[in-house]
Amino acid sequence: MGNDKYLYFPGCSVKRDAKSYEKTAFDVFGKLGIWVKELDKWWCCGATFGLAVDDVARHLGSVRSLIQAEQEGAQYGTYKLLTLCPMCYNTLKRVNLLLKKDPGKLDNIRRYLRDENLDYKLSVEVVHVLPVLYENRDLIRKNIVRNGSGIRAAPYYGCTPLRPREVAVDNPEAPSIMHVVLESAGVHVVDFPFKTECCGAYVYAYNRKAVIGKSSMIILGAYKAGANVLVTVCPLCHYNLMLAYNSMKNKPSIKIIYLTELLAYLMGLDDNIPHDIKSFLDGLAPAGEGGK
Amino acid sequence: MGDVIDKIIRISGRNVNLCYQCGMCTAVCPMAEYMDVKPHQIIRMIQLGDERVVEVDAVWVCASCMACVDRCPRDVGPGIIFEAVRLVSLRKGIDKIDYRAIEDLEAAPTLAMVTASRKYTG
Repeated sequence: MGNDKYLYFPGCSVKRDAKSYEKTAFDVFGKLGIWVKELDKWWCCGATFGLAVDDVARHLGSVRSLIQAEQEGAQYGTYKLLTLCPMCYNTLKRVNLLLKKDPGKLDNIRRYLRDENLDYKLSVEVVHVLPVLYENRDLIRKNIVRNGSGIRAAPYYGCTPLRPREVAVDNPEAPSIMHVVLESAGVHVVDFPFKTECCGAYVYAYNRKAVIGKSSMIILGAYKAGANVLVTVCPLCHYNLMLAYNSMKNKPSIKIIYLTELLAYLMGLDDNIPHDIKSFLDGLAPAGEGGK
Repeated sequence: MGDVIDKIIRISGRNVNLCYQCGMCTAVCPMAEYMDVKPHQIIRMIQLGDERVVEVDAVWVCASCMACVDRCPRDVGPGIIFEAVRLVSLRKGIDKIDYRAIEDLEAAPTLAMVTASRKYTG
């Protein structure tokens, strides 16, 4: 491992609201020797997969990005399209799967695109960062420079990397690949019951109480299981969890961070780790290791 | 069956009559505690042709997390059918959110805005 090649679809979040997620991910990829090339052009995936059978137009943004990946794939010799945001992953993967499984839908899409002289030949494979890190776990272990034994990390997968099961990156009922990645990075991994529970997603805009209720349950579940760090891979989960955390009167001593921020920290790649996260993690270091 | 129920069945592409009311969807739904009508009851309303289903608040509390869709033993796909119920309103131009009424709108990240727009506006 370590010589993988991926095309990369960023999406809106990592370019605006979750910049440190992308920057630390690229720091980690660089260290591990994973070759990642951002698409020259990309379109909003739509963030949620259109569920109605007649909603074909909703898939167009994703299809355009898949076509872009197919064209660049011929040039760069890889048809694997990597995403960090699991909502992008979920939407792109489901659109790709739909077109592969349903020739009628593919014909429909082709009619949309005919005037633009575009076609999609189904050659792209959409990949999420979680299995990529899992496949490179031995390399991650070799590149750890900080002692993470004071970090008790609860891996939180949420929905979109796991459901529906056709697009799951792991066993959707009992996922473990993020656990293994964290173990490889030398931290103490804390399993907790709500690792695949929904944070409330877009419902924040309609029923904020419900979202704060769900996300508070996830934070407190991880905290009560003994975690001092709650690890996410999703910018929307991150937003909802922070919304819930900031609404708590008695704030538990637990930090909500992106997986790649934690990996970058443990690998000594500090340049793009937000200051509050760096100092929180420094505070968890065992005595005599630069912490308390 | 009335037009509304026909439309829900047609655009969802699912067969509600396969549901035998086991309640699995409600048991696994993370949002069920915030719903006025529970997922299996919504499916029952559609089976019975009850057009008041479009007024049920719960379909807007559904987060499309696919927990029920993955676990339905009859492959009815409640979470997919709820999208069809939402679309009956949205496709008439009846939006479910007003951006001006969203608390801390400026603080909402792009992803939150895009997902909410996709699910709550037509």
